[in-house]
Amino acid sequence: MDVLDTDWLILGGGAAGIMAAIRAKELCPTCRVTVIEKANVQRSGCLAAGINAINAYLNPGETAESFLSYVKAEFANLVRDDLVYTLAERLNEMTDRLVEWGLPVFRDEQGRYLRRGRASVQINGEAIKPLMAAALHQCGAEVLNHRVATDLIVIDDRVVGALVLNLADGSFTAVRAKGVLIATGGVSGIYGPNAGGAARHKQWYSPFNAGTGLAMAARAGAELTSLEMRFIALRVAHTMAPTGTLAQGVRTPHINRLNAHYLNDYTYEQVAPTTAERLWATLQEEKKGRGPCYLDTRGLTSEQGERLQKAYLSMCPTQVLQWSDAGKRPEEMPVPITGSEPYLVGGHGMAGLWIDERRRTTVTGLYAAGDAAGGAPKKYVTGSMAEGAIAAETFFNEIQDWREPRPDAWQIAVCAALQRARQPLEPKEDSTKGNCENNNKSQIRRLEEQLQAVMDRWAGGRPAGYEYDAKGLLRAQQEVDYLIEAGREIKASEAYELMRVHEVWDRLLLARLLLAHMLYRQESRWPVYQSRLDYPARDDQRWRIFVNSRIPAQNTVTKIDLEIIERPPVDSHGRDGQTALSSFGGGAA
Amino acid sequence: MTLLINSQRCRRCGGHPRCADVCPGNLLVLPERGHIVSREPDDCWDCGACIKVCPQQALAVSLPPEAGGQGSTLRAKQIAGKIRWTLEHPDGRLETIDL
Repeated sequence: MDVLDTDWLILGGGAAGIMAAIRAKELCPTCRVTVIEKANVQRSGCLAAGINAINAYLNPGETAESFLSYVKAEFANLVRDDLVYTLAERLNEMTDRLVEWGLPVFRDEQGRYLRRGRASVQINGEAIKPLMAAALHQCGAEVLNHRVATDLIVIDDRVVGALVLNLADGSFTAVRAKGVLIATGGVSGIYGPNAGGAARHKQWYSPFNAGTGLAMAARAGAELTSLEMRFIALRVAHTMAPTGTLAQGVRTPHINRLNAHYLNDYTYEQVAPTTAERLWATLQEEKKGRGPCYLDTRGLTSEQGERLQKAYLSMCPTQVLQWSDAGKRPEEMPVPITGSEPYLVGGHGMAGLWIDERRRTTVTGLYAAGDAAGGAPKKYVTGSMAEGAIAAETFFNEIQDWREPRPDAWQIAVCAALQRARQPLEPKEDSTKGNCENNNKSQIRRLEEQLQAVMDRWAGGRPAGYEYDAKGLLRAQQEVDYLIEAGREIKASEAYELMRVHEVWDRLLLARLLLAHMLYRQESRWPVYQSRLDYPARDDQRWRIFVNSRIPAQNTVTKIDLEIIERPPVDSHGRDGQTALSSFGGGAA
Repeated sequence: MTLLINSQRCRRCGGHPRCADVCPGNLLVLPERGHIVSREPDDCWDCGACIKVCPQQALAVSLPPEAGGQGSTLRAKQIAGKIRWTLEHPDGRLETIDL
């Protein structure tokens, strides 16, 4: 098996990973920086279709402090202040970098970026990913496309590399690195999609983000935080297209089936509803029989309608098909809205790896940024980039601590990772190759759909109105444990199938961790995202804490035995990186 | 299936098709003979990455009936670094939109 030596190994070539590579090459042009990408950095991850706004930017008058206040208000006063503040300080630098790379941005009369919302500016971001990819190639980092990491290599409690599968030929490479960044994005596919059949991947978040990085970090003993704060988006029904383009971009009102403006019929924690409260109010209307709800585009000018079409072609092209299929222009038909399937995504919500202010996980040598990192919601593209940059800076501050792993220990660790990675490849008896391939595919998909059915029914999926109780969660735990066992028998005949098996395994593991988090937090803190039928009230006295989990490393092969850890709130943002690090001292619950 | 593949237009791109290279789900594969195929048509995310790089406009995206699709399609062509979209309405009417 090939062995590749690098300094800074980045898993995932999205916004966070690309910026982590570029910053690393700025800091150390002679260092070897390697990006492992599951698809091709050109169009991989959530930004594949583009994006039409930068949603984390400090418009004139805003500061890192005011951004933090806004994020705290949106998330029931429980976010990692240190993380939000330190990324907020870098948001405009990241936006400027994107513009420097060629991102077309709209400007106002004063030449400033055109404001769309409080923390948002309007762009033409259809090509945001190709532009980022060009900057990545330009910086001199090594980019390995169509490769997936299956496990981290851990020796003496330190991450020293990763095992990587090449999807083109099924070969494996052991990558030895002085530091590893998890920038693999969030997790979709734990819950069932809004529609089935040929629309099963008609999801808002990338269906190809399987939580691989979170799962491998968990197996390596890293701590995860706030998984119970699932992110559920208010999206266009059927297309799952983002709604900010309508609600923020052209200020369309929310109406129900009876044409009534329902948002003002509810009371909110503050005067204006938060993102979660707008979703909650819409779901209330559905429950009361006044759904479906809409964003009312009628009354827009035809010019605004045309601009809307272009905005969606730059981000979610199928929204344009929805208007065309209905035989209407955007300004002639209100757009139906509803809740998405739940996701674990650190860029929008709280779920992800527990990191310190300098973006270090709880395992030495392992860093995290972007959607894979928890505690700092609403970071979006530019916040993810900021985290990638901070992680790279931290890595180079610590590079002198690195010691080459002992060859025998390296060999043993790589062999163990390889054995686990290749396990589904064992030949299946009594099958011809052709039948075997089809059979594998359907078994992989069936297992994934079984997981989604369990989570939807018992763990607050969309069909259950996103709500749940302890009884259901315990039932779900039992069923997921069964699926984890059953999943060990799934086979793969080639590299793509092997990747798919690992994706389902990773989703199962994360579902199991998610259920433990959901069970542990005995309150309802975040409307819709974390809403319990058996503990319907918010309890700041007891639960204004972070719920974290960790798998003791010795138990990863045979049995999932996890530990829940309570962490106190982090209400300050020190500038030397010590504030959050000290919070790692929290005790096990 | 929401990605429509026009088998007549696909020219295999010398055995290294850009569409397969850029698909974020690694879904497109080129068999030894014939045109590009999707290994799991229902797993397409409809992001449009593939249709933007196809030099033959052999690929189009549509909404599946499960998501309310009624036959409209979108094709894309790169012209001087910009994208020209062609929207075909269910009645066959064509509309071009330049980004």
